[in-house]
Amino acid sequence: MKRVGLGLLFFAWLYGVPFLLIVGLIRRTSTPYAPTRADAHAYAATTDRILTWALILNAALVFAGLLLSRLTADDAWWRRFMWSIAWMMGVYVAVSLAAAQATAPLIGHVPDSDEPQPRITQCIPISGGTGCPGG
Amino acid sequence: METALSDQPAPPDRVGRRASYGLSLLVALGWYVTVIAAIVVGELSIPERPRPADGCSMPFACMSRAEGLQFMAVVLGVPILGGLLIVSLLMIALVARKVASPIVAGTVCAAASVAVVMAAIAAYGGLR
Repeated sequence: MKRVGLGLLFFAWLYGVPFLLIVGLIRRTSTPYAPTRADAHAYAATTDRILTWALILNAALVFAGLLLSRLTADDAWWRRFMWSIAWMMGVYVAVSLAAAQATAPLIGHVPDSDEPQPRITQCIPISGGTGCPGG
Repeated sequence: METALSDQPAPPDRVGRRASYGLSLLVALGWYVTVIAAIVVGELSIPERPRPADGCSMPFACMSRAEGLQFMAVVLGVPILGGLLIVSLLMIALVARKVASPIVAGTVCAAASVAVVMAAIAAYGGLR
């Protein structure tokens, strides 16, 4: 039971984190169809959530595994999770290398939408403000 | 082998220096499944521009992401996956003898198989 739990945790980390990272990076590098700015923001929020969770789980699952294997005195899994730290670091290095390729930040980038930028079409004079063109 | 020369039993961490072939293969297959599933899920999660009513007379002009994935799966996926599998089967047989952990053996073989197949595609592209 204990071994099954630690095994599940390990494979959830081994395959789950790269899965989330690939999904997030594909979304981040694609141009979605976003008719309004709200759509673009919603799309960006989901992408950011996926990438953030991938980066959190990458460390959290390994440390949870270390903790659980220590508590249950499981030396084999303890050693496996200790070795996993090297791979975990490698994942962070790979992500930061990928992030360095982009000019915009990896997390927090909002794609363009089809909604035009609001244009100023009329001038309302206010007291103390600059004058309107043409008086 | 020390254990063959002396009658001492092997220390516990030296028992079974070979990784199991089947487990290593499962780990490698797990990587292929993970990456393919992630690409499919990622591509299909991107909202698409609605298809224009006209102007799709050219073949491949208005392929949706799902159709593009199907096209790639049939044209590229089958030969590339076949190549990956064959290279992995051979490589695991070599690596699992040297490495004790099936997780390491399967992961290394999956990565190395991708590198070998990429190199083969590049070589094929260069020769044409």
